[in-house]
Amino acid sequence: MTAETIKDTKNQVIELNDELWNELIEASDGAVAMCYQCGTCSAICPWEFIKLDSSYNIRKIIRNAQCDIYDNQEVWQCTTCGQCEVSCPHGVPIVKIIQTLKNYAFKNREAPEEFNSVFWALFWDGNPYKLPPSNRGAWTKNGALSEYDDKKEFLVYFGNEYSFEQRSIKTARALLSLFKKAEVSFGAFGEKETCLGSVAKEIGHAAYFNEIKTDRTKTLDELSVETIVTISPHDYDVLKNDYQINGEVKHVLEVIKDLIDSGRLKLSREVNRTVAYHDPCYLGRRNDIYDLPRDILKAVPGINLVEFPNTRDNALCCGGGGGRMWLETPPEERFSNQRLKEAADIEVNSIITSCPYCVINFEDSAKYLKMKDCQVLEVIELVNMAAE
Amino acid sequence: MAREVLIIGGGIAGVQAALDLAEAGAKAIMVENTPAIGGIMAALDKNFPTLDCSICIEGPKLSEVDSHPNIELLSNAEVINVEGEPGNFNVTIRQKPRFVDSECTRCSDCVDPCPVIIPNKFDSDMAARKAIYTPFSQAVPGEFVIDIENCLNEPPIYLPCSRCMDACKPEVISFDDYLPKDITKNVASIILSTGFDLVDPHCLPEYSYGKHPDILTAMEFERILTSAGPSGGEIVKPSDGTHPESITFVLCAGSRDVRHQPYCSGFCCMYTIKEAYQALDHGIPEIKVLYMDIRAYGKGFDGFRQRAMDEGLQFIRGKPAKITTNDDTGEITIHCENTKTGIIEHFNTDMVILATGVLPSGSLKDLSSILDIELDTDGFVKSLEEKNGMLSTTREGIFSAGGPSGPKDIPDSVAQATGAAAITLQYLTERDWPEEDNPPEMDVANQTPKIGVFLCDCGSNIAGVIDVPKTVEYAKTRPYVEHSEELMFACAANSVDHIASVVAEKKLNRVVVSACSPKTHEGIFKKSLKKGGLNPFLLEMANVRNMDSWVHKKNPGEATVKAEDMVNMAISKAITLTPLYMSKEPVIQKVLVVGGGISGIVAATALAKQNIETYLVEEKPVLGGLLNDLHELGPGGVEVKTYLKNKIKELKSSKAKIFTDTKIEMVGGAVGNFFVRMQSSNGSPDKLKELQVGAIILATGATPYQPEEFQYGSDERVMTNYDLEKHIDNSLPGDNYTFIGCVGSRNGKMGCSRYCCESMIQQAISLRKKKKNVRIVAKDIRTFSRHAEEQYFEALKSGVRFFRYDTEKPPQDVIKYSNGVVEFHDEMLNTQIKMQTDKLVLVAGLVPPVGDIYQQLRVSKSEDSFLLEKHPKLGPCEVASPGIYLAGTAQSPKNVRDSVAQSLGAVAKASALVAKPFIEKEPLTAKIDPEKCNGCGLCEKVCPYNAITMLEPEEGEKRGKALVNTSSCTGCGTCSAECNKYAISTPFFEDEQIYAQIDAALQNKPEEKCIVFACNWCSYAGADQAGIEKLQYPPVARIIRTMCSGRIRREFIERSFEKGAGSVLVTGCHLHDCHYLTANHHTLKRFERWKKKAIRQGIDADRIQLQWISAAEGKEFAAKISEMETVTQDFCKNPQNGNGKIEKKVKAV
Repeated sequence: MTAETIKDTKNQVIELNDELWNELIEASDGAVAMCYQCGTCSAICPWEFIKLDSSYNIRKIIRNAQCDIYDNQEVWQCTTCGQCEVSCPHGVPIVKIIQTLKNYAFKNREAPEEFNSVFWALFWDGNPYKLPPSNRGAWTKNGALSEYDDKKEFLVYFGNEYSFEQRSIKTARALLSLFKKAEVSFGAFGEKETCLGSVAKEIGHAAYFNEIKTDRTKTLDELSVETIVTISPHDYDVLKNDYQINGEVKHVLEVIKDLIDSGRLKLSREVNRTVAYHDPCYLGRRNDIYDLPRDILKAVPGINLVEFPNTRDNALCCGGGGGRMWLETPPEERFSNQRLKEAADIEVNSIITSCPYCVINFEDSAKYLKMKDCQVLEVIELVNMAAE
Repeated sequence: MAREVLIIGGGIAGVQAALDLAEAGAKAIMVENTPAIGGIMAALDKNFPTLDCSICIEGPKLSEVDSHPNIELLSNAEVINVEGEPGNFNVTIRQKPRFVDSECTRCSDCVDPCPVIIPNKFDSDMAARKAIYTPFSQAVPGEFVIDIENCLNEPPIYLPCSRCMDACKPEVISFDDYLPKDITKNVASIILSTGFDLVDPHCLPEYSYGKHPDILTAMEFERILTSAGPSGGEIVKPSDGTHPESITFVLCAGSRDVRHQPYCSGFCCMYTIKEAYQALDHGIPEIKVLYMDIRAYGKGFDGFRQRAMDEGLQFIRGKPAKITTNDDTGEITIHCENTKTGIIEHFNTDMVILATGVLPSGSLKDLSSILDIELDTDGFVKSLEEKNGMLSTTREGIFSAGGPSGPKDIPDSVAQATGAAAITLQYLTERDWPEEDNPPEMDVANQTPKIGVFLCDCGSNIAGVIDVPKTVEYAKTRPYVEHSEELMFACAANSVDHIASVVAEKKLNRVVVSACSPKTHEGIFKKSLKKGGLNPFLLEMANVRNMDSWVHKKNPGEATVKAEDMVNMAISKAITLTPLYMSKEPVIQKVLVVGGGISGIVAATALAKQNIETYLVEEKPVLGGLLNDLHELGPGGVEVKTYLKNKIKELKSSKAKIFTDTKIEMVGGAVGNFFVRMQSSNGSPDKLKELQVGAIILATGATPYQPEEFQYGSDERVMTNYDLEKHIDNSLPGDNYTFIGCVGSRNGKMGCSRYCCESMIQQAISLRKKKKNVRIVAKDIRTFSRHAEEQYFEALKSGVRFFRYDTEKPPQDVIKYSNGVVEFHDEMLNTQIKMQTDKLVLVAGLVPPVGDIYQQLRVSKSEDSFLLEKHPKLGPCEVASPGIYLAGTAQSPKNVRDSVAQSLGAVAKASALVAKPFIEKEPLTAKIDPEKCNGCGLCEKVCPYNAITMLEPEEGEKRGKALVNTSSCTGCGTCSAECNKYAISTPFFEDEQIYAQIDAALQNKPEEKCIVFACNWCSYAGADQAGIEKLQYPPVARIIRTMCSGRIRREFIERSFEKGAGSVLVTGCHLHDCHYLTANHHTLKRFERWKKKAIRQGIDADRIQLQWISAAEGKEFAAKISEMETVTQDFCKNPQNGNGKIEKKVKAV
């Protein structure tokens, strides 16, 4: 069924297809069947702030699925932020439904063409940035990253953004500086690092994600890493929740918190800023990490930490999840604009977050909204500023 | 020897259980952990769907608990230990000190001096109270209480404050006994009725409760609605005290939500509609209800929903995702999707009312370990459903009623309470009815009347419309009135005592109470008279609430005039009242149960277990009724075959006598003495059997609707849910099953059939397990019963597909079916859907059974033709006539567990009646004055009961005198009206008493008034009903009550016209529905004669009319009075015939 026919279902008769229904239930682990159509999801979805004409309706997407139709346009707009899941009285894993529907589109070769190049890049280069694997680690001075061995405290998985994306590389550098100050010895894959597949998963290609997962699991297990540390919440999420590797998975903030608590990292330089912490969807709602970044920020001297009106599990999505980073979003439709406006309302001079997508999107929006004074930083960067 | 039953929890369920047990001769020991009984019901303003004032109907019951010699009330007390076994439990109860003893006069002098001010929990913390207080004005026990936690004193050592003690003139306050007391009791069984708690809305941060003062819970709003509440019944915004322009009600706040309570709280939909309706009634223009499914499953609920919609209530299907507030502007914004239109709305509203969900009572957890009973995972009591529906807990001898076994509304709680009382009676070895302790009756024979008039405000129910102080002053101007006084709630226990003390003190010998209907409240005020040393029949009531303030709300001036007339009528009648004495009539201590379905089986077994001689009659050759065709009961999953087999086995091993294949041919008589003739189907004369019983339980059930829709019967793919049930265990043909809900129910006068949603879901799950494709096309999904919502979720998860069709239309109008294809418009997708269907299952509602037994017993029917209960809230197991009780679906459709509770309820009522060898009978039987009787024999001919015999003539007499057989006489008065020698008197409805009322009614501006004669059982109740429904009609009627329209004699009509009445309306039960068999046929014949005569005398034909009105026909009554108003007005404009008066004098009496 094409997008056109679905858009105008009012005068149309939908004929049920139970085979498809049973298939969808199985593919979504029953998620699609759990919904009783109360409409909280549609009323809380961030698209509601953008499309004021109710034209984006997550409940209807689910209802369509329950009636054996899927909307090929709308599923790709979902950022998988999970705000709807928080509100859902039936505990429906709505993101799972979206991913199932996307996967279904891939099966039917109906996914947006923009994704083709992303997958090819993943396939050839092990990253979605279409850059050669040898470029990974090119941002470090020679020898800054050494291979993992059992004398190292942990393995850091830098991920695509912190290896290839210019803004994120700044953060990666801050992390290296920070580790140096704390005298941390860690290992990394360097050039051998490959994408963990969160991109494939969020875009909705379940089969390809599984393929990647199987491959990377093998690599990781062969290394027998005790602790693997991720930086991007998207990497953290798949590694923690989808992979079943032998070692322990930690988010870099947990490591930083330990370094501060144990006194290895001394935060003595005052950072006189009023900041608000923005909870990344994949760290907050998906993995329940809310207090950790705040506790770290509170340890920074001079900081005045305030909260967004929509915070913690109500935090507004930046718009980057669910593969949206790889699709063009017209500037006026960006969720991040809303978040920046909120920041202006609470009069902060920095937005602090801990996700590369959030940083990229917020900085774009700050430019678009001409909010020159609003700085966007990762927690890592702020801590590095304060560290001796 | 044990006759004690412990009741834990004094809400309406506990109160009802205690009263039923007490009436049945048990000793009820009620333990309540707060200072007063009444529970949540006491704090409610009005009840749905009747809009009865909650405390007005509960208050009398609370007073009864207080005064009943068979009830011991331990308030401020908790059960701390239970040992022993059924029949012999040793219970330890710890009672906290009250610091005020029972001599407290409730003068409240102690309250003002108390320096402590804290929120009053009874007012949902929206009003304040002191540390010494009474929770509410009708509280039982009535004595005040000191909240020692908040009192400045800490006895025994630290006593800095004695202000209350200093103020207390009767010196009833003391801090000496400061320690809790342990009391031990031996009881035969225990009823747990601890009610429920409500979800704390702070746990729903998305709804911003606590962030804005105008976001309230429904319970808080209930107090705002109450005239005795913090805002005096005015709907105002707590933020600024102004009236809101819009209110939004949010359902399922914390229920049907896996993050909070996954189950449905059952009654929130209805109380929300009720509150919304009241808000509309208060003139608030914009009221919205946000809902997911409207669960209006009870009798009359759907009709009420419809009525609210007709009044302008807007329903939006969609659960709000969040409610935000703006601190600067004070705006409240609701964010929700209207799932019908797909539009996501963000609208502002002035007030938000959250229908917070129900939680198991906070005390339940501790109690469950003290009582050693199991709780379910949802925190409610685990019920052994196979035993006694939801009543049996896991420990023998301990039963649950109301809240502990899951959320339920008042009638369901009451039915369970009465049912629990019935089972506990089985454990008793003794019963007793101690006499009430009243002072000796004052001899009033030769006294001139000294009348006391007590005028009730009924909160704002009366005082909100009528100028009560003015009426009080008016009453003082009437002859013989010694005392006239306004009371806020005349029926409150303290007011009842107050009236008694005024009677005693001022030596009053007649009492007039201007309040509500004598049909509901006469008994209470009679108690006042007895306590005051007066014969109870020296009371007359003016029904100012139901027949004046409720029905003339927009016309307070004329309503006050009418109230004065009504009070004047009552005073005039009171002057002529004489003492009367109850007679004791023998009771046949046997019970007949009609109907051998599950309700009849349960009822007969329970009765027989109490050693009551019981007869069970079933028309069909087998017992079990509808259950014979069922396989599994939803939602509890009870396996029917074994269940039914065990129930029948239990019945057969009891001493009940069972007659299957037997029809009741004829039934008659009255309470205590019914006669029954029945015949076995094969028709041989020796199969004829006659019985005499004292009580009858109607368990005649209901039958599944036989569809004509969807080619049922001609297309073999189409079946009903009953057809499916027969085969559900076998291998079923076809893959695609489609259910259509609400076939034959929720249509026109037929309400929701209540059982079907949960049973349909049960079937859907079984089919799904068999790998079928299952689709449910329904209106609202009404899975309100315990565990049913969880099962609905189960069905969803298993892949049963739910669709929603137009709630307002019958399925055949909006769903097309032909040749294996179903097509309809799905409201959730807003699209036409088509599906291949191998089996179309029509989920059939229940329809009432037919038969003439109801007519023979004069049992009325509701609008939907199910049997009419005595009171929809508090009398679900009884009918208007004493001695006849309702069990199961005969009253209204319901599932098996609710049927079981109700049939046990009927058992408790019947058992209370037949346990004693006699009943007290009202002394309303006709009396013949032999001096006046000339032996014409007319009375003998008209008596419907053949209760009059003509004696042999004595010497010197041409004809013998008439004689009334008092045991057969029922007091209709038909004979009296027929007697042209005025030789027959009918106590309490004497000729002179009625003349007095006519004269009083027509004292001023008679031409503007319509004299209405109404019979006690139907038309007077119909007029009451018009009041209950708040139907507005012109204030033209002056209603005179008699027991039967057969009592009305020609002279009453003539007197009315002679005094200048604008019009006269005679009303009565519908022909064939007369409570006195054929008595109203005489009314009809007589009326035709009166009318002809009146016309001959120049009275316009329209000015004298006859109308039959049943007890349920409030609307018809209101409409008729509007019609009579036109007639009366016309007459006022064109008075003819000597200023409208009949010149002829009425014969002297």
